[in-house]
Amino acid sequence: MTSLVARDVVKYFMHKNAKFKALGGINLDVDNGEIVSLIGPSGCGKSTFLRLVAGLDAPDEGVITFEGEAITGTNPDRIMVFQEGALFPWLNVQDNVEFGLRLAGVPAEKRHKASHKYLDMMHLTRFTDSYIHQLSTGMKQRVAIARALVMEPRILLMDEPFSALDMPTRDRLLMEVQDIWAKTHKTILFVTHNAVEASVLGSRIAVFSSPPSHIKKIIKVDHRRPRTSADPEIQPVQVQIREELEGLRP
Amino acid sequence: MNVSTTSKKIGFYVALVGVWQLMAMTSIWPENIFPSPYSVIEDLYYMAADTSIFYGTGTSLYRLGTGFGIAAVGGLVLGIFMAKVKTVDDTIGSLVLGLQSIPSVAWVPLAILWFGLTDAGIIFVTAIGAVFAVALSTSSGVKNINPDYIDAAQNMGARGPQLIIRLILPAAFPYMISGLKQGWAFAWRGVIGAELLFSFLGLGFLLTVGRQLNDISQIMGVMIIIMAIGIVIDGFVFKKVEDNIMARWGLR
Repeated sequence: MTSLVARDVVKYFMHKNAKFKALGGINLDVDNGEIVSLIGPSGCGKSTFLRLVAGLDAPDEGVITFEGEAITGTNPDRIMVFQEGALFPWLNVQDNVEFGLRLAGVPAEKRHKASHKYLDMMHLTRFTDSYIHQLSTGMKQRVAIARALVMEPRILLMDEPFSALDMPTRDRLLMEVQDIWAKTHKTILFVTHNAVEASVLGSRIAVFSSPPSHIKKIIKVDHRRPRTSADPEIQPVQVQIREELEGLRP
Repeated sequence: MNVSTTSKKIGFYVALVGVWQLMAMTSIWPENIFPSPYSVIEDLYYMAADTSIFYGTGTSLYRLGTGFGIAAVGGLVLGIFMAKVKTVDDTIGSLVLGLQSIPSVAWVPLAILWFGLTDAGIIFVTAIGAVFAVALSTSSGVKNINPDYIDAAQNMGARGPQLIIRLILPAAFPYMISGLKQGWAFAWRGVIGAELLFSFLGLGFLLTVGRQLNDISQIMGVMIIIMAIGIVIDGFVFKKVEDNIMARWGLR
């Protein structure tokens, strides 16, 4: 069953009083339970596209539908994990994770149960009372993922969540995301500029062109999971991604 | 604060009172011009015995609390509008910058004509002295919120009042606290100043009475009370709140 459909999505930006076409007609179909990596040169609009799916911005032309309905705004069914986590420094880890449930008026006991389930899944139970500044970058992204999962979204939108991490931490989180996916079969859109991350996670990889961008290539990756960044089977995929990206203006 | 700082402080105040007592005992100036610390304490005792100091302090604190409360709420609302609506910022915002430069007591003549010699007049002076500082700091606090925080909160379902209470206010609070502190200081000056001129109960009124009776001990006693209240609110209430925020945000 199709989860997300984007048809001829166009988005303009104002830059120094000039209209700048960021997305020049994006077409994409994402199936339920699929992980699609979106990769492209920086400034190609892949994060812009993700914001449109989240409903944080609206397309200027074209339409994006989610489970058959046009997206008109944000909805906890579509939860974004931000590049820098966007965790709230005035709340401790547990309260950060429970933020959305509290907004929805979920009673305390149910809230704690839900947050503990995902804090446990992300190996954060020792840090429930910590404040955000006390955590390492990797820990912060774990909290951000737990905060997204606790909303039980139907699609997870990840915007370069691992770009600030060192390699061992990133590799561990790549494993954990696959682990979560194996347990929940959530649909995931994963934006990255990194061929390794794209190939490890993606069931399919959508390569964006330079702006005004379209999807110039979709690469299917059928290899067994869980995959690691060192898996020999996905090395050719990485080469293919790099070839596709080559020659694109940054 | 370590032990040696504390002992230095205690030593300083003991010495200060000692020198003051000695100077008064030399009788260079007559007692009614330069009272001894003993007679100031004695006067405070009399004012405590006839409860006038408690009544005065209570009245002033009530006016401070009410006026500052109005200023805090009004300043928050005004500040959020200034940050979120550009037209408000360009128009009212510029006026607020000007109004903030008016000392609280300069509002007293207006307050007397508008409200008469009433509590409302004094509370008006207190509130108007503080509201603009709170509004300006709230506005800059809200403008400086990381836009990802707002996006994330909206994504998780925050709308309207929830977005303001659960996100905008706590996210802007480190900025707002400095405006609240400045606002309280303006408010406290405003209360005492207004009471002096209104001559209608409160600590400022007790100062006026002291002047009219040529009772310098009473004046000094009341001034010490005013200072003590300032120290308590600044050094305990605001410092606690500030330390708590700093620790949570990791700003230190």
